[in-house]
Amino acid sequence: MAFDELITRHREKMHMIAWQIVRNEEDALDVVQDAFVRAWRSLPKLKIESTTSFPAWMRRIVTNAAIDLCRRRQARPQVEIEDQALKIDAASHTTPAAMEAPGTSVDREFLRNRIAAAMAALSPEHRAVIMLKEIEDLSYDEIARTVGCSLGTVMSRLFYARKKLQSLLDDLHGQI
Amino acid sequence: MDKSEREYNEWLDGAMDEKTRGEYEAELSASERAEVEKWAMIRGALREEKAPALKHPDFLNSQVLEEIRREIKPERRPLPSLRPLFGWGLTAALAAVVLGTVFLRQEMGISSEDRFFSQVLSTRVADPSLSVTSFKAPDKKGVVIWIDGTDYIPPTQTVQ
Repeated sequence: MAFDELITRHREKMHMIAWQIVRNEEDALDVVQDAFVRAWRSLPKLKIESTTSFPAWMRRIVTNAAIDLCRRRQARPQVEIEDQALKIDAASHTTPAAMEAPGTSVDREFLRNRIAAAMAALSPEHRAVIMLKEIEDLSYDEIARTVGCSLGTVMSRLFYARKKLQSLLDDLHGQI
Repeated sequence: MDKSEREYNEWLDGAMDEKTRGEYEAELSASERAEVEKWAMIRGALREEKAPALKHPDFLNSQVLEEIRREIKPERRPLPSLRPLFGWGLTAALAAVVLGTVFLRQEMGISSEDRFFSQVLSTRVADPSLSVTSFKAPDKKGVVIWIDGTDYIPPTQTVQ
């Protein structure tokens, strides 16, 4: 079946996109599975929209399915990070002489956990635009098409998501 | 679209030309200007962040394909109840019989000759000697009856 090959080719990428929004492995798997079935149902529509590539089209389906799932749950995603990362006092995170120097794996891990916790604190819509801009490197127009909203809404979501992330991670500046 | 939101995003994304950027940054405080660096750090960390790898990728394929197969498979519809079908069939048959009868009766027609013949028979004597001959011409149709032994012939028919 040709669709089997399409799944194989795009499953990792789509799983990553879904995970960035739902922040939970099982939910990401559900989202991707659901998105591929939805994609299969809508394949004739894709053939009509010949200007859209399959990966871009799938990304749109996965992004919206992930946002839908988060909305349905009406709860913040279950974050698979160490609780400590959320509670840590940034002021205490100095670098004693005995510890590894900044930029080492310990610091990178710490930063990743803080980023993950901050991302989880965003709404799914805000997480989606951050992910599409910063990780997928899409243009503002492409983000608008992907999430199905206006350019103004994308700009607004991006602005507030960035401001919130910066405020949540403010204490990190200059330390790493 | 809010101008400040658009400008802020374009500034962080390096989408401003040199002149516009200079003008924009001139209006910012030192701490606000530092947001570019902060954001660069966050962006770097976001790009490093990796989703956990799919543990059983082929299982995902099989699940999706199974779901698709279920959708392709036509649903078995329960057979419709025979009772209404039988009722409608019976009604249709009765209607056909009634319509057919009416049609046939109209086709056959009950002519005045038939009525006359009935009248003749009803007034017959005990032992009549009766013969009937009909003829048909291209432009008319008639019945000639020779009656022997009848007591009565309706006056309206005697001239025909």
